Amino acid sequence: MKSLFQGFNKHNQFARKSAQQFLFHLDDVCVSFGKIKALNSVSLTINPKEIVFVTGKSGAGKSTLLNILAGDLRPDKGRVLGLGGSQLFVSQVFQDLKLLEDLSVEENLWYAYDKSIYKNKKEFQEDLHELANVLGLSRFMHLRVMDANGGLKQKVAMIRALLTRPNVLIADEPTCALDRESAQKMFEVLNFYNLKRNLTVIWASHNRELVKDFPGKIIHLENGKLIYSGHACFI
Amino acid sequence: MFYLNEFLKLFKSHFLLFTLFVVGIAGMQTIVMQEEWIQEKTAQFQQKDIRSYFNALVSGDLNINGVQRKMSKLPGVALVNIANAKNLNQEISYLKDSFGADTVDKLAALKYQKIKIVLENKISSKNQNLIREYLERLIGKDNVTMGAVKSPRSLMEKDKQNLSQFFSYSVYYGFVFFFGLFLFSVLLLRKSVTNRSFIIRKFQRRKYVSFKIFVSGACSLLVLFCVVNLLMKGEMNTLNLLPFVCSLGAIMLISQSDFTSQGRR
Repeated sequence: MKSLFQGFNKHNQFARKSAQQFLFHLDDVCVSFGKIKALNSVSLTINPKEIVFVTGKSGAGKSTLLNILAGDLRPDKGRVLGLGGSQLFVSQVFQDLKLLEDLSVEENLWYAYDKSIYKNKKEFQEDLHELANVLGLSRFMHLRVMDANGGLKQKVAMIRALLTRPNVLIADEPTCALDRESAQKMFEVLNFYNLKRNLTVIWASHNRELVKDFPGKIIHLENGKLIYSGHACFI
Repeated sequence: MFYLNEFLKLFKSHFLLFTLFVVGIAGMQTIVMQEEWIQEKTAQFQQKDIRSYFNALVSGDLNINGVQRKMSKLPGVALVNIANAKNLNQEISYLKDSFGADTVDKLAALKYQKIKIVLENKISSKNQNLIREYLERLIGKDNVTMGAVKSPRSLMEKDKQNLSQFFSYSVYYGFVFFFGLFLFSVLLLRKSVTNRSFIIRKFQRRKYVSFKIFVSGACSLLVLFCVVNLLMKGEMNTLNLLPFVCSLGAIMLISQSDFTSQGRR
């Protein structure tokens, strides 16, 4: 795991600089899709280096909130303030994963290779194999994604997102197809990235029981409204 | 090179559409650069099509090559074609099916050969008769059976103006056809390219990806076919840049979402 740190620090300098700043601040944000209010006057703050779980039932507005934070969606009303600038890079694990089905697992992972982040391909390859080993993906590198099961696909999507060395990782239901052991393993990896690489993790899940066991902040939504925002231990 | 590589990956997953893309580009570039040659060939084709002709069955005992040589030299005769043995055999077998083997075998025993005499344009019916009479005198009345003069020109005379106008625009029709082919392939490839470009944009911090993928593919092919045509023709002018302008314009329009869906933060 240690080699994963190399070359990563410069991309996280922003976190140290802005220790007292928020990463995202939503002020009275409303989003509607036709007559349906996906988000209704949501105000919250996410700080750097936090692990945030966004919980709520299906249709509570979790994915809409994540899309707002990722910059893929604009609110109808309210303000979204972000740290912004080129120093902030948000990587995502999409709910529908967005993998290229006709390519192999390895080919999909190579789409995360960015010359401006890695010194060379070797460095990327080392990271890739290390993460694949940790999440038990090494045996399936040449398997075509269309032939892989749901859990394997989620692992591929997660590794691809981490390989971009992001400052913020937004994951929409990243463990819904995984067993508890694999979900635990994935969380351990994210926790490691959070502690050692200052990665901010925003993780949406409809399974509150799962996130109860993990340390972090919880944002609970119901019918587009913010019900709770605070540490998990106070819920 | 990265974008060109992404474009070439389409060859593996969308072979047919990729081929249409290449054919579209090659067609556009070739038509624009070889315009004069195409106009010339079209004009020749028009000339060829409106010529009158008649067929004749000549006794096989005669020296058919000598007849061909002498008829070709005759004023008013454009061309003398001898039907080859393969076609003749095909016709005999067809006749056998229609009339019965006995009748045709007797006819086949007569040993005849078919020749087609193509007459020059605007030749009067008096002169046509003179040519037919010459052929009769040349090989003897008993050795030849002639068909009537067929004149496609009389048929085309009615639409001659329309047709010549149609043929004069053949280059433009060709260009529009190949541009349509190119457009069709780009529209169908768009979904696949957009999927890839979304991933590249999200995970590699790049911008305008699908536009760049299409442009790198189209420009590489246009330059390639431009060089090939330039080597064949030896010159080029500003009109030869038309495929570049059209394809880049079309790609810009199709990849419009690339320019509007980015940089929101």
